[in-house]
Amino acid sequence: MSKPTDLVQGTVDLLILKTVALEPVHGWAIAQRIKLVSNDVLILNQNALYPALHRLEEQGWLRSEWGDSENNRRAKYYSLTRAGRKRLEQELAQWRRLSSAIEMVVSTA
Amino acid sequence: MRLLYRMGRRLRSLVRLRAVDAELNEELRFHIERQTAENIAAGMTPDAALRSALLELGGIEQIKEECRDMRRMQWVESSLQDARFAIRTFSKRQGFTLTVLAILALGIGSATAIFSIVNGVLLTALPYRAPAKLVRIYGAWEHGSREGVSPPDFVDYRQRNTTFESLAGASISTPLLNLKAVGDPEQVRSRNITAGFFSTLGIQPLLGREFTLQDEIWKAPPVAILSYGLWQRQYGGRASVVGEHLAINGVSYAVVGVLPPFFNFLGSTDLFTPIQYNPVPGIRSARILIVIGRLKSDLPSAQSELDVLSRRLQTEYSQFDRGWSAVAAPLTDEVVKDVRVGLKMLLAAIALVILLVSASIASMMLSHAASRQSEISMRMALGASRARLIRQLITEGLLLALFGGVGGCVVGYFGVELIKQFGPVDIPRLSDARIDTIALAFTFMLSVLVGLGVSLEPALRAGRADIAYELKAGSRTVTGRFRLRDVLVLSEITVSVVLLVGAGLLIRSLILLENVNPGFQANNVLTTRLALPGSKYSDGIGAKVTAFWHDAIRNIEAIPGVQSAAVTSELPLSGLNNPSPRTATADGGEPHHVYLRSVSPGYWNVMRIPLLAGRYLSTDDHKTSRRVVVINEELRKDIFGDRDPIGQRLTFDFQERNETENYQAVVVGIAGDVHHTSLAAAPFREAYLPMDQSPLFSYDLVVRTTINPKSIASDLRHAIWSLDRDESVGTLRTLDDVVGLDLAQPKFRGYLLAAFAAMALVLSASSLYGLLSFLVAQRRREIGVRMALGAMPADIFPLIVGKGLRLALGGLLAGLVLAFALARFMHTLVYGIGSGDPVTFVAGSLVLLIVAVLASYVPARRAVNLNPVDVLRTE
Repeated sequence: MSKPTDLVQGTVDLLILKTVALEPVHGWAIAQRIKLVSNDVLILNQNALYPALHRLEEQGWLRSEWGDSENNRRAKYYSLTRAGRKRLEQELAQWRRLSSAIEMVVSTA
Repeated sequence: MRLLYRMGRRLRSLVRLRAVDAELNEELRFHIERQTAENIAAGMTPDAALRSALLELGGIEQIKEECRDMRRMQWVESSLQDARFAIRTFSKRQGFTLTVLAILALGIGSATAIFSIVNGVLLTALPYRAPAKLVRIYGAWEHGSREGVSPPDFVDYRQRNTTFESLAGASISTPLLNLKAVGDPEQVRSRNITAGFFSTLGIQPLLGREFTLQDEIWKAPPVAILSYGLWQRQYGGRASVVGEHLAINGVSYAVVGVLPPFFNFLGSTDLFTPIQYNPVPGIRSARILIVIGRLKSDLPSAQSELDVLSRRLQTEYSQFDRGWSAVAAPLTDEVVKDVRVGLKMLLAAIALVILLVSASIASMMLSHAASRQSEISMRMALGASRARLIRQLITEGLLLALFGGVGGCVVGYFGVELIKQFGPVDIPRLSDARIDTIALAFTFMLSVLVGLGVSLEPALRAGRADIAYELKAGSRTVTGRFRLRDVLVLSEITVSVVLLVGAGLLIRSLILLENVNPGFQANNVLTTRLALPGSKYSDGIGAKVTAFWHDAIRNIEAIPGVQSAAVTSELPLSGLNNPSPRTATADGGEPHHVYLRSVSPGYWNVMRIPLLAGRYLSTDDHKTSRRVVVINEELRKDIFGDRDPIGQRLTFDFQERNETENYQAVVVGIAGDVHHTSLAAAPFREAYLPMDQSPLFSYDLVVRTTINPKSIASDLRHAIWSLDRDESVGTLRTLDDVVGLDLAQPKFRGYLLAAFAAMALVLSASSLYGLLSFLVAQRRREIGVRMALGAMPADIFPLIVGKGLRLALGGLLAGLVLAFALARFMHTLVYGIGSGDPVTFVAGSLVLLIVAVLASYVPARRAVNLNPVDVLRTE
């Protein structure tokens, strides 16, 4: 499998938080959804996915519970905590600032 | 909330490691299944689909490990790791570890035991309501003696005071009475108390009521309150006991109340009866009451009111109360005052022992750390952070100390039991002492402190370690660290000297006390206290009791193996004393306080008290003959001085029943002085009245035997029972035991301190030995070179021994100064010598120096015996 674009450092958290913000979702679906939404541009390295999930949960931004999946198989669903929502807003704001700054630098040059 | 949530998760992941791992497995397995399904949907064969899914995920174990890392409570994990590492280190050095643990267990254990005793006896509040508000009130004579308060004086204080919530009294004496209730007849210890005694202490009777003012009235119907223990023994805890009657010395008493368990006031008591005193004027000088009071506010204001009240009594009843005032003191202090100094000394001693144990272990840890220096440097070179290394060393220290503390709890538990079993029974509240949560907390704190203390230096050193320097092959650093070890050894020696001198002072006092001539011969004498029921033997003239005692003595003297028998109102050193001294006045002289004894004629023969002049009392001194008295040497000196006392008349400040004149008697003899209250206290003035002329209902029986006194015990009981089948005979003791009990506390203190001193000596000697051995090992090469260059053993030997002696002398000097300063606080525990007794100080110094020389000699020998060829070859 190709590795189109290395994710910009530090954006994994943002992507996960954003994906989870819509509805409770399990790990595999998070990876799938990011891939789908970004038209296969962003492929979350699955090596990094689960440690990141556990870290975010540990930090209190995600909470997890076991539920039934689409095909009636028990899966671990992650959802956003209130602290996580705040964190997402911060990360988003920061990302917008950063990307627009880069955009400005790139387009004026 | 978030913090709580996180802590919850962390705890869960720590405690339920396996469950969390299982969840992680399931989560990943789900991922693989979905990915496989997806791949199959995309057209792969199932095998290829699975393989591809696994590949995509990467190393499963690796992910799992990373996920775990994200969750763990890092510091707990690594602390556990430290602990595991420490235990591995210790198990590699079992000798070192076991020695340290043994020393710690002994040190912490003795501290725990002593702390538990001191805590139980001194620090724990009395088991009464608001004990800080309770005071004891004494009658204080202007010439110094502190006595009880007489019943009428007490009643006056009770009525007139305004600064006490309540005042109550209890008799000083606790007579043994013969009790017949439901169960077996038994001898019970009783105390007379006033109304409101229990409410003043804040004790509610378990059943019934306490005494009221009506019960105090002379000749009121007799009533009694039972202790919990007596109630259980006699009635099996039956609740309907209140209102029933029991017989005390043949008189019927109504039970009005039962006390809760564990009620204890100045020694245990089985039975309480109300004080009913005969309201004759003379009773005002019978200072027989322990008065207790509950303060409304503070002690000084109560005391100033007592001053006013007692001055008023002195003028109102000058015949009896002149010179007597009332003094209040906190009850807690009063209960334990006799042992306070001794226990505080033990506490101080144990603090010193702990210091010494810490120093000794710290010094062992230093050499332990020194031998690990290269390991530590290696770990630093490999990237271990200094913080982590410091933590590692502190973990080791704490772990050792905590294990030592656990051992200490065990040692402490047995220590307390041992002390309770063999310690002096007359330490008040000793039975209350036990290892409780406070003692355990104390032990834990102590262990933590010791652990931190002993690991501090190695840890700090590790933090400063210079890797490059330490790792350099063959570097031989002897300085720095070893200066600290010198200081440790020096302070150990200092502490040892203090303990040695303290133990020396106590042991010397003990030896002197054991050699005090009590004034009588204690061997081969059996003794017991007998009490006759007044109901059966009272006839107004004392003829019945006198006859009983004479018959009893005759019967006992007929027992084979008995040489002679006699009775005395108060046996010396038995703890019993006439609660109120009388005054004796020679014609035209000043009154002197004197303790009166009533004795049978054979008393001096049995006790072998020497006659100094005149004659002993004899069977001719009976009821109707001239009243006579034998006085002791003290009384003769103080009253008659150089005059011949024989034939002189003494007047005492009391009257016989039905008489109005004060009691007068002619001195017929002078007897040797007897230590009555204790061997350590100087004999006091005593006057012996013949039993026939002053008969009493209860006496101490003394029997001198030619055979083992205990062997006649049953014959003696039967001799009494042949006279009166209902008379109960209490515990039989030998007079040797009675005297031994007087020495119990000095022995306890002396032996305990001696044990501490011995421990101190062994520890400091082994530290000195360890230090010098280390020094020799470190300087092997130097010594080898010197010897190869022609140094003689005589040059090398002083090098090592000199070092040892310098340390010993330094410690000795500091120790002597400290001991001299501290010994002054224990002057009340020292008998017959000053607290600065030069003999003890010199002897202690000698012992220490001898031990120091021995401890230095062995390493020095080893240095001298080094073979230079071997040394230089191995280097």
